[in-house]
Amino acid sequence: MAIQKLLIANRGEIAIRVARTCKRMGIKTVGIFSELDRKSLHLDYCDEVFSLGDGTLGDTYLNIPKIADIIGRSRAQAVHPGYGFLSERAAFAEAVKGAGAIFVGPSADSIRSMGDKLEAKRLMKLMGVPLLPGTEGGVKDFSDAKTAADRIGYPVLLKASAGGGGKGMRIVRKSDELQAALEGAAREAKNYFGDGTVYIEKYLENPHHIEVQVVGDGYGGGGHVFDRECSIQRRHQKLVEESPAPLLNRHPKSKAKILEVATQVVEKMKYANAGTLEFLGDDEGGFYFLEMNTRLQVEHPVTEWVTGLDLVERQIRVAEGERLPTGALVDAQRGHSIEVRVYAETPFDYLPTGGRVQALQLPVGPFVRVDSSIYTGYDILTDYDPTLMKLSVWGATREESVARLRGALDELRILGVQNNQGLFWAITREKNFQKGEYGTPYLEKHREELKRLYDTELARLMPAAALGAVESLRSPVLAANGAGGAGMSAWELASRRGQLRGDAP
Amino acid sequence: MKYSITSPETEARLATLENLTDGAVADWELGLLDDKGVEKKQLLKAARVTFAQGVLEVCFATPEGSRLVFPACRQGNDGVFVIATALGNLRLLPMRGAAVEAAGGAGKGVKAIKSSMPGKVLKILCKVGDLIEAGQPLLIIEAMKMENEIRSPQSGIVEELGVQVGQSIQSGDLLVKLGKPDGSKS
Repeated sequence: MAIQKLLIANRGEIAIRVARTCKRMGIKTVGIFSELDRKSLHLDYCDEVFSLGDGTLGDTYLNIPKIADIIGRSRAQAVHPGYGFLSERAAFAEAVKGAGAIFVGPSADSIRSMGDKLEAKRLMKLMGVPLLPGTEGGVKDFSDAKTAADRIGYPVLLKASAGGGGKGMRIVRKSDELQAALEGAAREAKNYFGDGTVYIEKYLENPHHIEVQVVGDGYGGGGHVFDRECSIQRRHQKLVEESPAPLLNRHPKSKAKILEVATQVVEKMKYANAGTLEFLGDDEGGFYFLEMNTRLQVEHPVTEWVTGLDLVERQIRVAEGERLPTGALVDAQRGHSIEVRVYAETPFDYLPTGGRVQALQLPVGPFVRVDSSIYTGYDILTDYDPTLMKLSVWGATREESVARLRGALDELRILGVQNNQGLFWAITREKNFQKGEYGTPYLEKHREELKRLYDTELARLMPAAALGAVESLRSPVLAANGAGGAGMSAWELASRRGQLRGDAP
Repeated sequence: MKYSITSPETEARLATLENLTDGAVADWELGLLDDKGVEKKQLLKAARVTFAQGVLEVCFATPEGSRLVFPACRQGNDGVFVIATALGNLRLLPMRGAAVEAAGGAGKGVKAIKSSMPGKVLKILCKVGDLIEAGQPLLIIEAMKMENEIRSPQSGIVEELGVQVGQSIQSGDLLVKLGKPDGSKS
């Protein structure tokens, strides 16, 4: 069935992203918004908009009955959930179906089984997907522990079953350290958590976050859409994502295997729509299943850059009933893409900021993409996530991609909202990143060097600017963003009046 | 007015700026902080700083004719500027106390009121010799199809009118020169 009208159950940049593809495909869009979001840009991109009223997230974007009601009133034939919010709620997928519309996503069963982390691991193991080696439960005694550790291979990590926060945790690199470490971990576990049970798993010195995009048709057709690496994270949230994964470029055999495994999962699960298999990778090319996200991923633009696929279109097509041949959706990745997430937070301490966007200068030029929902005069809402924009670039090689990202970051100006672009400024100039050699400890490990790069530039910026020696600041004025144009913002007018009144700076 | 430029992370002073005034055509003094935080003055000849329409423009008479442009805005009412750079936002904080006094004691002496934007003079509301109160309207300028009332930032005697009704003006053009309220020449 060809979808003619689709409701986007989300806000911000992803709502705009989905609306763009719908527009191109000739599908009418229905937007929803909380009253807080009355000035949000996604409203301008939808053909019709419905208010969710005031209140908390639970009252608005997470309110299933309210959204189901809007599906009925708007006569939308399908619902795209975006990411976050209700995108991985089986009950929502069922409610959409109940309202007579197609859920642009996997079956409620797939969402449910992958949402349960233990069940997901059990199913993956059955399908032959490697899991991080470890004991099923706690070890009984030293000899039990020694057998397990020998089987898993050193280094191993001892963890308190009841634990958390590093208490009752020991890294063991050699078998002769095991006994003392086990006793220590058990003692700590007993003291802190009242339960001395300790389990063992493989310890990765420099773990990598590797993932594989998949698209399935729900009948066993479809498969992988290649890999991404998202190892640069803070507080378990991704900051930088790339495709192909630099780690897998160093291990072509692992790459072939991980992609094959992903296609098999799609086939065996009869997985429908877009999803992502997330893995921990190690420096030797080993990979271990973490979890599966049953939705479109934030970082999907890097996959779109290197495959030429519009993933939202693919989602809609399979939701309409398109059948796919089993296997990869495209033959190869072309070139290299990197995305950075510009957040409203300080670059090194990750402290949330906010404010009004007073002026906005976006990078443009060949192979540069911005997914964003901010505009001049927009007040950053602290009620939602801190993403100001996703900036992604493409290059024929990774080197070219990094260089293009540097250039794009040099062009970017977000006035009025402190943000983390300075961190990316430093990362794209840091040697290990430039070589593609980094794991999840990257930001902690290279913090000093990144700060040094940043501080050096900061100190250079003003003096050098004054001497006319910087290229990066000789940037085009804001003409393109309406400063002085017909679309002058209220702020600009107010500010101008202030200047004319002679408010001394 | 003298400003210190601070690091967004640490609020540490990075440099200082002087004469950051709308339409100021003046030598621009830049204080560079060395490793020990000691300020070393550097004078840039005939630099011009304008702040209009949300854009801070700094022009230098370098051999290459460099022109630098930062998107900038005021933050709050206490004279703080924010400029956007490739590293994020930098704040320019007005320096208080002795530094401000040394910067010329604006508000007491002669004040040249300059236009911060190009436009057209619609009305002149004062004449030479008038005693002006702070906040009193001086003239009306049309810019971007908007009428903008220009008020005096301080009290004083009108010494000179730089424009006539109907005249097109550029940002930085002298509008009114105010003398001290007691009438003494500077």
